[in-house]
Order: sequence, then C-alpha cells, then structure tokens
Amino acid sequence: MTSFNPDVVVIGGGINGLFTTLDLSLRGFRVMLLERNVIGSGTSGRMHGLLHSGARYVVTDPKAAVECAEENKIIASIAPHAVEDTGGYYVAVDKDDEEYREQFIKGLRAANINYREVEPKDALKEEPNLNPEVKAVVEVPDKVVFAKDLMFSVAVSAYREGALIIQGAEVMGFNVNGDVIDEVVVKDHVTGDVRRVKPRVVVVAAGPWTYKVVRMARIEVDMMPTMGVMVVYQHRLTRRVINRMRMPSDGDILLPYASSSIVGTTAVIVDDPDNLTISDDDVNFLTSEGSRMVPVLSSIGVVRAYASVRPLIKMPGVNTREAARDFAIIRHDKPSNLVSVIGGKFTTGRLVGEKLSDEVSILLGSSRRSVTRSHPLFGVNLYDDLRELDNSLRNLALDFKGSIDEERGRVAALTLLTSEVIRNSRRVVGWS
Amino acid sequence: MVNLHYSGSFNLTKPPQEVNGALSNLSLVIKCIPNVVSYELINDSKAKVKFRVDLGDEVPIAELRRITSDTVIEVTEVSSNEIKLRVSGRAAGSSIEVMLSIVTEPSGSGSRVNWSADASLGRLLQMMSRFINVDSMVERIANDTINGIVKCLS
Repeated sequence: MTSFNPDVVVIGGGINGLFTTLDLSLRGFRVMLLERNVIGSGTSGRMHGLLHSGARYVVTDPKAAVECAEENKIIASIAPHAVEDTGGYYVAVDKDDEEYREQFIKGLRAANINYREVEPKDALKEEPNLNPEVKAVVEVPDKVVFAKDLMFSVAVSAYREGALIIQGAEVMGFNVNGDVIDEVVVKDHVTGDVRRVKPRVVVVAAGPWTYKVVRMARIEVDMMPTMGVMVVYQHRLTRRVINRMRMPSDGDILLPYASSSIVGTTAVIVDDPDNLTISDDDVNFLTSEGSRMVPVLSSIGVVRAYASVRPLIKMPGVNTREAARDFAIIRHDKPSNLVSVIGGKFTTGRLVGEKLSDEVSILLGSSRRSVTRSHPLFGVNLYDDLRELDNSLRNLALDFKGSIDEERGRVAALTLLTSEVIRNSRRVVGWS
Repeated sequence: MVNLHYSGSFNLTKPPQEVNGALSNLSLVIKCIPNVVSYELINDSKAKVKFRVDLGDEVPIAELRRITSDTVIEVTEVSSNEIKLRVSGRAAGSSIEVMLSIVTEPSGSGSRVNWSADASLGRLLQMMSRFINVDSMVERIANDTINGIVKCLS
C-alpha cells in the first residue's frame, strides 16, 4: 500500500490531463496522473497535427478563434522543439469559397489574427502543388505540432515538478463519503492489483471516455461520440498547411507532417469510442476533397488512415453548445471535490489545464496562479538534459545527437525519458 | 428509424407540362440541388449524388455542421402530373431515406407545385435529437433544397 497521498488525482493522459498535471505541480500541489492505457493513446495522439491559428473558427466560433490564436503563440514559445512554423494558406477553389472570403477576412480582423492576402500566382510559386485554378489565397499563422513530442515534454516537465505519471492505471470506481470522493479505486493493468488512492480533489480529463468515468460518481451524462478520420499520404506535398476557404466542414485541411501529408477530416457519429471502423469511402472522400486543393494528391499513395473521437457530452451544469464550441470546466455539486472538463481542442490543451487548475486551487484554498504560459517545457535542449535516464539509456539517446537521425531521435529520446518517468513514478508510489 | 413528414407548395411561371418534364429529368434536377459535390448518372432515372448538407450552427460539433452525404437518387414514378423520387444513402455514418412526392397543377398562366416529403433518419442520426431539434433542422434542409430547385426552374 502506498504512503503517497496526492492533493489531486488527474484522470486522463491526453493533452488536457497532462497540462493540468503540470499546472497544478507548478502551483505546488502533489499530483498523480492516472492513464488507463499509455500517454497520448486517446484522441490527443490521433489529431491531425494542426496548431490552430484560429482562422478556422473566425466566422462560426469567434471565442474559440481568439483562444486558439493566443495558444498558438504560447505553445510555439514554450515548446519550439515540438512545433514547425509552417504557416498556412486558406484557398478558394470554387465560387462558393470565393463568396466566403469577405466574411472570413472580416472574422480574421475581428479576432486580431495576422493575415495576408496573397496573389494566386505568387501562392503557386510558393506552393507549386496547389490547384492552378485557385481563385483567392489568404495566409495565416497556422503551425504544425508534433503531438507525441509535446505530450511527452509536458509529462517529463510535470514529473520534474514532483508529479507522478502512472500508465496502465484504469479507474474502476469511486468510494464516496457524504458528498466527497474519499477514495479512487484503480485497476493496475501492469501488476493486476487493485489500488486505492485518497486524493483531496479528483479531476476528470478523459476526453471521449469522460462519460464513463463520471458515471462512476453517479453523474448523469448523455454522449454522442463523433469519429474524425485522417488519411496519411506518402510525400510532403506542401510547405504550408493548406485549408479550404469555406465554413468548417469535412475534408477541408491538408497538413505537411514531417515527410508525409495528412488530409482531414470526416464527421461520423459512432456508438462507442472504443470501436471505430474506417471505411474505403472515408479514404476516397478525403482524397477527393484534398485533391481539390492539391490535385497531385489523387495520384499519391495512401500510407494509412487513422481516426479519433470528438466527444459531444451533455452533463448537468454545462451548456452543450458552448462546451462543444470551446470547452467547459464543471465543478460538480456532488461529489463536491470532483472537477471535469468536456470539449476542447489540442491547441487549447494548455488553457484547459490552466482553467481546470484554477478551479482545483479554489477547492484547495490556494491563490497561486498559473505560470504555464511562460514556463519552457522540457525538451528545448533535449540532448543536453537527459538526467532522468540511466547511463545505458542516456548513451543510447545521446548517440542520436550529431548523427544522421538527430531530428528523428528527438521523439525516441523523449519516449525513453517518458518511459523512465513512468517507471520512477511507479517506484515512488510503491506500484512497481 | 425516426420518421418526419413535411409538405409545402410554390408557384412557377412555367406551365405544368414544362415543369413536370424538368422535374422528371434527373440530370437537370441534380444540378438544382444546393451544394452538390459530385454526381454520376447510372441511367435516366437513377444517379449517385454526393452533396454537402448544412445542418446549421446549432449543431454543437463544428465538423458536424456541414457534412457530406452519399446518396442514390431515383425517380420511382412519373405520371402526367406527379413525380415520385426516393433519396437513400448515408450521412454522418447514419442511414437516411427521403420519399419525395411532387404534384404539379395549373395556376393561372403558370403552375402550382405541391410537394410532400417523408424522411427517415437512421439510429445514429437520431442521437443528435438529444442535443438539438432535429425536426426543425430537417425541415430547414427540405426547404433549402426545394428553394434551390424552384430557383433553378424559375
């Protein structure tokens, strides 16, 4: 049995849970993150790679647009190693797209997002694979974020601030005493044991699985999981992110992701977030839509397709529409020490962590404020700072530096580090 | 399946015979449907059509507000004053079926077109009704589609 009594248990090892863990640790709280599978194995590790400039939402969701624009700058500043500043083009390829241009520009101005109208002929010089029939082009500060690199960097940063990161730990139930969660019951998938943790506050940041977790605390939820499919193609076809200049819809983005291209995404309602099937129709549709922006896509080989789930959740205390447009933090009445988040985007994960931590701080009677917006994440100087690794692993990671695979070695080194952080966390808590 | 029924009417300046002829010409009707992404005529009375459906900003997930539906449109019955069409396929991973009946009658020097539609939504699309008013959403889509056809035939 462990003697580690955390102030806070965070359930969910995606971008929201990780940034919440880091934020709370930096405020001086003892935090334990529980992930049933592995870090980033849910929706966060299956996003399309866009660090939103906010442009996609300027017409339909101005508040989300402003938040994305600010977080885009913050993430690029605190984790430059996990971000490629590609820039992005919005392209009009038909008359309907052209008609959207005026309200799009108006929205960019209102959200204070830097943009530049580009002559199509100049855009074609910059991006030769663009549709030569393109009618209008607007440049915005979209970036590409490497999801695993960022999440592992947050995990290691949180560990360095004293947090424990536990994988293979599935929450099976809560023991509620009066109106308070007294104990979190955890199935340890590594050892097969049942563990019990006694935190002062429980945070649920489990993405599409949030409904399953909060139901254990007898909170009624309604859920509509919606699958988004992404297709990966063989070559990097553009320098920039290419977006269709129209209202948010399916098949409207192509991203350069390292040496590949990714086209997203669809919206398919599914029964169960754990049971996703990608059809040939999904792949063909995305190829067809993507090739309207970059025609050569239709003759490039598909490497694979993958899917993630956006949760739409109805829960007491939250306006469904507002939650899905952005995100919603819910401090529940019963149990009174339970806080959960629904909605959100990968780009706003840090902000979710800040807002969740604000609520937790109130519950714990602290006035300490968030510092994550200016806290450089571990990994900026990765090869100079591998002290968590033992000698053999450190040598293995260091050997990437200066080699042909230095850039590719970054994620390998971060994976080794995260693995050590998780092993050490289990040792500390006595779950080895 | 959720079954929804809608009906309405509109006037056109063209005579009934001309309107009926246009409405039974599938290749013409398809071009009048708003937001067609692509189509392929299988024969004179049947076509595969992909079109984008605007479910509206009240749908809470941005990517679900404008979805692409993959359908087969078939002219099932043609008489001197009535045309019946069946639209079946999938949208947002869920099955959909719409039976559309259009009756044309003389009205002054033009025509009056009376339409009625029975829409069936699959189980998954029904889930959306827990979050938004699906009835008014489908009614708006039906009206938008009919208005597109009216505009096209005027």
